[in-house]
Amino acid sequence: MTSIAHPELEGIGTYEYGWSDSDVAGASARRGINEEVVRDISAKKDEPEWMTKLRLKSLRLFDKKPMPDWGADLSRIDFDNIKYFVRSTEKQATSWEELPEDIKNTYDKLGIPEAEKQRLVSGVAAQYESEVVYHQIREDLEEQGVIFMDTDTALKEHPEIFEEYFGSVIPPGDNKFAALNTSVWSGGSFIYVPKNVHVEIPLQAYFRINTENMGQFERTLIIVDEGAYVHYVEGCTAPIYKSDSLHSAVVEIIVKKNARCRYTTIQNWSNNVFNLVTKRAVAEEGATMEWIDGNIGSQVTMKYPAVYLMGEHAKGETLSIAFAGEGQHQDTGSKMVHCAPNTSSNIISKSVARGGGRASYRGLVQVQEGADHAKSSVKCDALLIDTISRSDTYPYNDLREDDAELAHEATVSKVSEDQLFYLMSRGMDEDEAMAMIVRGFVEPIARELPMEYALELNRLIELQMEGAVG
Amino acid sequence: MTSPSTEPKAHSHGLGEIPFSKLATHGSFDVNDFPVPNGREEEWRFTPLRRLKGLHNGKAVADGTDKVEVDAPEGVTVETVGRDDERLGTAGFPADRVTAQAYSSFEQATVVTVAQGAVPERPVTIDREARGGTRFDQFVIEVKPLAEVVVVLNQTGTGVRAGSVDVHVGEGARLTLISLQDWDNDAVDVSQHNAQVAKDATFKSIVITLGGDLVRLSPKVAYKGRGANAELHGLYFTGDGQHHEHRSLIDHNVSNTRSRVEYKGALSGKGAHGVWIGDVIIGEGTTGTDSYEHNRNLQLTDDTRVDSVPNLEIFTGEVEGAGHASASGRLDDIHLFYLRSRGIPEDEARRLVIRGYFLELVGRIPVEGLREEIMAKVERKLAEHE
Amino acid sequence: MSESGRWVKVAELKEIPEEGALGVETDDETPIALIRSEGEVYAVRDVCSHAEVRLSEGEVEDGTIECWLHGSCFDLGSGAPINPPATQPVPTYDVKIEGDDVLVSLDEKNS
Repeated sequence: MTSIAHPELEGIGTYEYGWSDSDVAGASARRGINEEVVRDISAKKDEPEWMTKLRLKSLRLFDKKPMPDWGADLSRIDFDNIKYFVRSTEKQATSWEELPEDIKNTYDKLGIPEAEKQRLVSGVAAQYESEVVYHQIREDLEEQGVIFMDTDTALKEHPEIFEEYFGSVIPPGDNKFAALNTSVWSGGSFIYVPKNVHVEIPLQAYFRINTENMGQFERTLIIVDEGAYVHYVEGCTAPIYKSDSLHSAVVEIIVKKNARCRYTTIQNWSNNVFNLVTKRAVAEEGATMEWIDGNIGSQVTMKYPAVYLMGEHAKGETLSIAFAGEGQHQDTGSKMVHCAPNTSSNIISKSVARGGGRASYRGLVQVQEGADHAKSSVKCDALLIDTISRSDTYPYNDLREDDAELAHEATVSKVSEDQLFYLMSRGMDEDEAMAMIVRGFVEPIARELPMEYALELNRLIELQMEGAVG
Repeated sequence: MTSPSTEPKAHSHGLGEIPFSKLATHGSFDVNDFPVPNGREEEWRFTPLRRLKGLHNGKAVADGTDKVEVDAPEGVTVETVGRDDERLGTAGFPADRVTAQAYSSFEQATVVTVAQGAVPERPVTIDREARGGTRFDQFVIEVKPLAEVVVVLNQTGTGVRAGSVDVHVGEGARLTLISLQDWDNDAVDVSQHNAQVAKDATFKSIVITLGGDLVRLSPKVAYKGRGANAELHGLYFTGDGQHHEHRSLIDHNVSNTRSRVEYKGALSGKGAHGVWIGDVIIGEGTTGTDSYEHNRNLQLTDDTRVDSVPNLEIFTGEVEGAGHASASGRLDDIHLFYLRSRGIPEDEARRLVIRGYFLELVGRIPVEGLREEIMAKVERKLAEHE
Repeated sequence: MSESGRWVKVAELKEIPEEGALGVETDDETPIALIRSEGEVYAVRDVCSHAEVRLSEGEVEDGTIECWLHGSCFDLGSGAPINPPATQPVPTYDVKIEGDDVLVSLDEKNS
């Protein structure tokens, strides 16, 4: 390939949903974080004392813990210039009609009502400025005993579940951003699937950041009881603002014996968002945890969904796609920790960097002593499309059991002139041809997505390949 | 000269708990530019600091002796020089505190020069027997243009050793450097190999680590011209309680260069710990780089540990090819089954498969006598562990 | 590994804070965290099983100690981890108090 730039690729990383609504709720929110802010958040939510204490402890840990000195450049985050809690509506809406007009407009642009009308989703928890304001769950799910609600409400209605599981997978001290999230968390989804219940259609939630410099610290807790199944789909879009926004979520998942959980994210934050997310699942005996993780937007993403394989025959799987356009750094990957015999894990990662962007795969596979017959396979492919972009692979493999197999493989390839020439000789122009090659490259992951998400992903790729300026 | 970051490098897990590698070649000749490691730093977190015998914290005192015998064929000169020799420290910075300590503390260095165009009929052999105590050393190997030579650094004995081997491979020259770490089982060895490979030159490194309580060897390659080629081959047989750590860095800072890295390890016995870090950088603006890394580990018993980390940083889209593979596990059951189905008893089949695993690498040693000698040592190690 | 039943004095009781920990080293450089929680004195190896961190620098609460760097909690009686990221136990040691002296047995109880 020659060093000619591909102007048709300019669009990778540019952002389509670049509007913002009138900033009603955010203007009055305070900037910066201290004990008073944290106490105030907890008081406004009327939380039990243990949660207030946990928040305050997490704040101490946040202050004490160092910033990560690896991964992406986080030096531009100004913690004093972030709003840690913003209320958009006084109480939760129970139907679409009750939502404020500007919020409805925003969701219209995201297509949620359509999704609802088509009954493609079983329940939508749409997060708007820190609190879930719209929430509906299909009746048959309720009848089955499935709980799907925003995390704040769940804490009130199911305190015993929270005391048992909240922070049990990701302790506040895990890392600086988990500590921050635990001290100021607001919103997020809570799901409990009772024993042997199979939720047939994906549960979805949309998240939006709508206030300049507003941190969004949602907290998601999913418990899939024995023999149950759920697929949770999370999508993220945010409007463009001039200064940097911080999104720092914590997602904890407990997959009990013989249960299965799939968690799908197509992250398309606008290009000023720092997306620093901790996601971790614990898989018990015979359980399966699958992460499908697409990272297309944001300025910086650091995210490594993990599975701790705690029970015999537990399985972990991650499919990961990253696009890094101009000014973007996608530092993503996955972690698999094998703690029991006959556990298996599989990581497939595909990344594309263009326009000087940087796509880094960072991963960990650890096989603990006693995890006999553990098996792990990791495959990373990077596609290079121009001369100025950066692609890295940092895999870490740690094997402490002789009776185990661990394999890691990475390949880096550039778009071949032959492929391009062939497609163009069939009448495609260069950007169509390039988009087709990229689509083919990510196809193994796209086909794992629910249909509407696969379409969205394809559309995003096309937009990016067309050089559409958002 | 650049200084290392003096910021503490807590290995911030969590968002991570994942290792960070900047891979970049920073370093300093001054030991005081490096803080005393606490074990959480990325470059030290695999190494048992307590077993470094004070190399890392300034407590080690240079009180050791070595017996060194050099066999230099025609066309090769070997000199012993003092600290002021200007050929010292010209191939790379010490990248960690121990190597910087060695550079700050050594008294004498050995310089091997291979004359332009020389093709000695037998290898240059440096037999180094450590006789206790602590020593800091520097070696320089300068291969002038168009020369072709094999250099064998054969290291045995006991003691605590740290230092660097600086290698210059001149234009069109070929150097095969065989570094054998056949230390006694209580020895400690921390060393860095810095190679600068000129236009159309080939540097072949064969590292064989069999002995030592703690061996940490860091081969680093930089290129000086197009057409330069580096092949790093390694073999480690890590027994009870031994720590063998190999950390290579290939910096493709010039266009049209090639690298191959293949390290194979076998681990046997309680607490045997093998670490392989393979860093490759493909520099900004370069084109035509061809790079591949491979690490394979065979775990022969329980209670062993392997860390295998092939890091790759690519700053350009114009690569010829790049990739890596890492595989660790037990003996391949299929191989065993095949041999047993031929009527070979299991013990014998195991031995054959393990032997084949090593032979593949030892077979690349271009000196017949040495090949046999090293295979015999491997066989002896194997026998100890059966 | 030390011989069975070898007790060594490692600290005086008053040096260990209530609901807190004290890091000590034995003559053979074994790092030990002495922890007082709810009136009991415990001894565990003073290195987190997850990363090279002194447990004695962590917070003590209800018979557990929490590693300050990544938040793993360990049960002081058994050494077992209570939550990730640690998944392996830390070695524990028997403790006895003789007058003001705190003695530990250098045999690991749970390894």
